Amino acid sequence: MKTYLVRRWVLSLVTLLVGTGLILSWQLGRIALRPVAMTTGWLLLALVLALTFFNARKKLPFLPLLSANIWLQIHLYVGWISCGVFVLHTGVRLPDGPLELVLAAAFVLVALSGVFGLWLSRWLPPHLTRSGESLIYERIPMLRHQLLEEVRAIVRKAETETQSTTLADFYLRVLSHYFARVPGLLAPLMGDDAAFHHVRLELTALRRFLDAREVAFADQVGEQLELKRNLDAQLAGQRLLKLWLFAHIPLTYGLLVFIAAHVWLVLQYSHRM
Amino acid sequence: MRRLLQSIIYNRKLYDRPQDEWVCGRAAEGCPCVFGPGSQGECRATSQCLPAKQGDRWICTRPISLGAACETGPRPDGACGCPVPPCSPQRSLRAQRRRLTWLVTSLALGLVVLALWGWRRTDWSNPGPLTSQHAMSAQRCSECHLEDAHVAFTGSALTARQAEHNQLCLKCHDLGPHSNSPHGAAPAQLTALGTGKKSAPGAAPLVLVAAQTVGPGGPSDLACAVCHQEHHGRNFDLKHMRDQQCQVCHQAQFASFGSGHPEFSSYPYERRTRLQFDHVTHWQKHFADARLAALAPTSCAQCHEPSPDGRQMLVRGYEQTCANCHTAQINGDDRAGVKGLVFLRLPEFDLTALEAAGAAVGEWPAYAKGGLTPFMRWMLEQNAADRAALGTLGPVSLADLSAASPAQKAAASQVLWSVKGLLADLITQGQPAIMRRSGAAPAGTTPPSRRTGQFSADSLLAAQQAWLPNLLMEVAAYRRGEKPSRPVAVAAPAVSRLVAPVAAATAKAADPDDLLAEPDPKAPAPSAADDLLAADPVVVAPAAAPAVSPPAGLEFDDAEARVAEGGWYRRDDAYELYYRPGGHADPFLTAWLEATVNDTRTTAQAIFSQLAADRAPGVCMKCHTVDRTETGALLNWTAARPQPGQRKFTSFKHAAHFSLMGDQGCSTCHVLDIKSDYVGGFGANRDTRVFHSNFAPMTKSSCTTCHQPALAGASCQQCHNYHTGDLKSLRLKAAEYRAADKAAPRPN
Repeated sequence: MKTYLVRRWVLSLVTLLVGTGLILSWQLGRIALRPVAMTTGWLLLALVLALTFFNARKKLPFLPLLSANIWLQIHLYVGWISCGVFVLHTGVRLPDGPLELVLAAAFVLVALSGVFGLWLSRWLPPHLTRSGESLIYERIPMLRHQLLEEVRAIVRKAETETQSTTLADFYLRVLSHYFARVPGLLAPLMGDDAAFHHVRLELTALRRFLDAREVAFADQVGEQLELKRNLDAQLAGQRLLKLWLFAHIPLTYGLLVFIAAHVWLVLQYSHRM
Repeated sequence: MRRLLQSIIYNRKLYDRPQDEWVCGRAAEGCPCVFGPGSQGECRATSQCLPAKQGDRWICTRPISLGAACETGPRPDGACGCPVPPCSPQRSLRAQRRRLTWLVTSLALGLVVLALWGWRRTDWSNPGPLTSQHAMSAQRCSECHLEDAHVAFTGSALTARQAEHNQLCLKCHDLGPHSNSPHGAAPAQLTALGTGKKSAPGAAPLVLVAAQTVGPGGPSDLACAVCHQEHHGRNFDLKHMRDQQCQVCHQAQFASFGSGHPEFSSYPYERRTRLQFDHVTHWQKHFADARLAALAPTSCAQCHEPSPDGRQMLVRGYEQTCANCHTAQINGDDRAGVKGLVFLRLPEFDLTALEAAGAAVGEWPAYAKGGLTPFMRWMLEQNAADRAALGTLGPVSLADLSAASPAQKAAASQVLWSVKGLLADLITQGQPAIMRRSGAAPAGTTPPSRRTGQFSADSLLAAQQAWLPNLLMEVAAYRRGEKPSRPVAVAAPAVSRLVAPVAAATAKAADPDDLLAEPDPKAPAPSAADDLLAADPVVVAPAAAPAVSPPAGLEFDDAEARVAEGGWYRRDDAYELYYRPGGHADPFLTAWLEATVNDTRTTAQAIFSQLAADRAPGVCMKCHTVDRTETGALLNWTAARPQPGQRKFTSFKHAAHFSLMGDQGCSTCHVLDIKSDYVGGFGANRDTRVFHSNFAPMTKSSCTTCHQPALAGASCQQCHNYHTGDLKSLRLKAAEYRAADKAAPRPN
């Protein structure tokens, strides 16, 4: 933990120093009538390409190009620097042209999605760890189906052994829906525990109408409820951890296309090189 | 202990393929097949396992994770006993993201293609609206950009491309030969401006010192786009610069106008005035004279007024300022002595020497005095032969040819006849003869017609009748090739000062014997036999009889007095024809001054000196000055005027400061310097930079009272211009370009 904090502080400080140096250089360049827009433009292009290479690096694990963890750290801090360079490049003002506006919007969206992803990757994993058993995302649908089958088996067994349909009725009315449901996309952010608490309260209320044998089955159902709660939390959390990339990565490649067009336009039309 | 959902037993775990493009459609039901979908998304499952043959038996190979070997076992033919109905494989999350990435990239690519090559490419690829100044003229990208040239990548190619782009700006904005130089100044001028300039120790702000280390983006090749950046909206200020950006190239750097800006040395008196007007003597001596109290101005505003744009304080017109006191000086009323200017004269010739040399002299007054007037010499020199004769004469005096060579005597004889010819031409042809003999007017000066001074041929005719009655016949004979002998020398006219007015003399008949006789239209024309010199009927003019004396009871006023409002008069005692100025801005004087000020010929300079002398009639050069310019000399007929094409380093708006004047009015800023040798800056000096102002230089403190960042502002551009000098060509070139642009075909 100590190493992690030291690393974070050192890299943050270095990023801050580099950023400050860039701002000072930009300011001095402007005063000295240097083509700062051109300079920051080329720098920004280099930074964006370096950031994009992180995605490629993950697809080329056989290349001895540092570890993915180091690449991620580079990606994070270079990302922050590129945001600063972007602000300097635009001259702290909104672009006026349609294509440049789209380009700037793409960059901002990529940056925002990256920042959102960074926050998610820092905030969600502890929540998921505290939630319960860590599940493999790809198996969650199967596990949900397995849970549903298990609950169904408990209810059927209870009905057979107790000759009572109280739990079966409860299953049909409440449990079947709950165990089959898939949480919403933003459930981790919205605090989607209401359904679980609702079902558990109903189950608790039902216990007054159950005999001793049925209560034992109800307790088994309660355990299944807890498992489903964790399963939902894991699904929603991991899904969100994957879904932000649906914005970040496609927009990044779109951004590269706009950047290429922008560079071509600049080389073709700019009066100042 | 809470039960775990996922099995951690190694052989109970399923084999997940998150990197695969497709996922088994039954994965969500907890029973994915072992084969998984194919690469194209097809279901490859037909059974739960592929039975293996051991010896002659088929064995079930279903994995433990799916329940291990089934009870039924494989069929006899080796097929699996647990067939699996096909599923619909689903795309994996990664595959969906990849598809989205391609989709977004394709959309972006399409958008870019449309933006760069679509039908509205100009709108889409435009980085922003142009400023209003350029919005009207630049409708096509190619007007300001190199669209067809190849994109440059190397350093030299980029530099060349930048230079070409700059030329596109200069297509309209012609900033002179040094357009890429700071302030458009020549290198020598820049060097001169920077000589001796240095920041005071510690005065240069740290940021500027640091900026120097970056290396300013000039000054050897300043592109327009260094300071002017377009495509930032209609109302974007193309000229806005930060003070530090203005200073970065300067050698003397400072923090602000209030702190570190050099003290004014001579501002705003950077050159001598165009009109010589000594404010000190006028205010302290003349205007204070009680006798002039009614005429003298009481405030600056009586002589000065702001220009329409409020920037400059102009001098009001002559009639509103100087006329009250100086008109009599100009038209000669206050003048002692001759009030007019000798235009023509019958010069004195050494007739004895000429006759001794065998030259035919003809009629010539015996008591003529003086030489050729500069005007006569000017008009004679327009003729090549006369010019050669005058050249041959050299310094020899026409009045004394005793020591002259035969060639010089011959030249003198030719000059005599040229003078006669000149007089005859002026009499017979009048003003056109003067215009023809004046030569062409230099560009920008008054036309030759004004050099005639509304010359009256009749006045000269009257003079000729009095001075040389046979002139016209003699000239006619001379031009026919005859040699007229010299008649009895003409005596000086009997009436020297009381000659008749010109108009009165012009209507007389040309009978030399009866000077006052009315012409008889029925009288026969004199025969050639009677006429000694056989006058040419074309040349002979109507006879005029000079008035000798007025009838009893009448008296002629002085000839000069009779042309008090300007005009031509003669002096018979000296055989001279005069021109008297008619007042301020006399066309005759101004035209001849302009014609000769830049003419280096001796004759021209003689005329200019005659007109520009301190006591010359009209006293033009008492107030009007001559500036030495790069192209010659410039006559200042007016005080400083707004010159829209001219821009100086410093800009000031008088009108904006009127409300700030104290009780002292204009003297709040313009303080008279009574010790200044103002007049010493004029006279023979034509260098406008050598002068002594009537006023003490302004001090910076008078400005810094208000011009602080928090008050009236203290930015460089409030008082200084970057582009200076003659910007006239800028507008002209733009106009030409617009005209050509309108004519050029436009693409659809």
